[in-house]
Amino acid sequence: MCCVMIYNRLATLRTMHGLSRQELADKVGVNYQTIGFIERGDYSPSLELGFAIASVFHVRIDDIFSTNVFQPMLGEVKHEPKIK
Amino acid sequence: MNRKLNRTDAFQKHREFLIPKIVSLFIIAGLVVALTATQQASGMPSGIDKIYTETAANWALLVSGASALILGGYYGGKYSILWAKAVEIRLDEREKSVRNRVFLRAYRWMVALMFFGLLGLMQSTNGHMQTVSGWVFLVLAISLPSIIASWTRASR
Repeated sequence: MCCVMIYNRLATLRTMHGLSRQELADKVGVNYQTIGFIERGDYSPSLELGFAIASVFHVRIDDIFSTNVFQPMLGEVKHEPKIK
Repeated sequence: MNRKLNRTDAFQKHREFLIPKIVSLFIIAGLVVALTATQQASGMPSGIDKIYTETAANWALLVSGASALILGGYYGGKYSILWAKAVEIRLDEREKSVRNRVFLRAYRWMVALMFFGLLGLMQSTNGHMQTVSGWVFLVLAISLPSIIASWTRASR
């Protein structure tokens, strides 16, 4: 089970919610660069961090992370207001 | 204009990875010069040349030590054994995993270097060479994790 590729659509969700990397990083308690690494797929977060990120966007963890390539989000997720 | 901007962005992007690499090269070069100059000085007869060569070795060691401190400061003590516990509280999970990987590699390198270094020292009767080697190992022990970190992806 080594080196399973974890795909994510964190960048899309973050942009949709109008959050910067720094803002998201502050909410989940990590360095802003870690958010960049996750978005680029260079780092797979722990379950704790994955759940923390999912709770920020009020979605399930498998809406953000998957072992399968995500399909385009058109029509799948409604635009939500900026998270305060 | 756009091309100029892109070039500036590329420079900014690579600069933070380039600086630690250059400093780490300074450390390694300084240690190599120190050891080589000391070795050469040991074969020289007493005189001004020997003094100059030994002075060069000492300066190289000093530059190396100063560069090690600069590199440690650049990373904010993230890869320092001395402050590892104090720094840990402000590292997130990715930074901790990078640090652990760097420490493991540094430990492997240090064991290998000490093994070959001790083999060399056992055959050497030169007291000055032994002293310089001791300082070289000290600088390496302090700076090796930072040196490895500067050549490791995602270390910053």
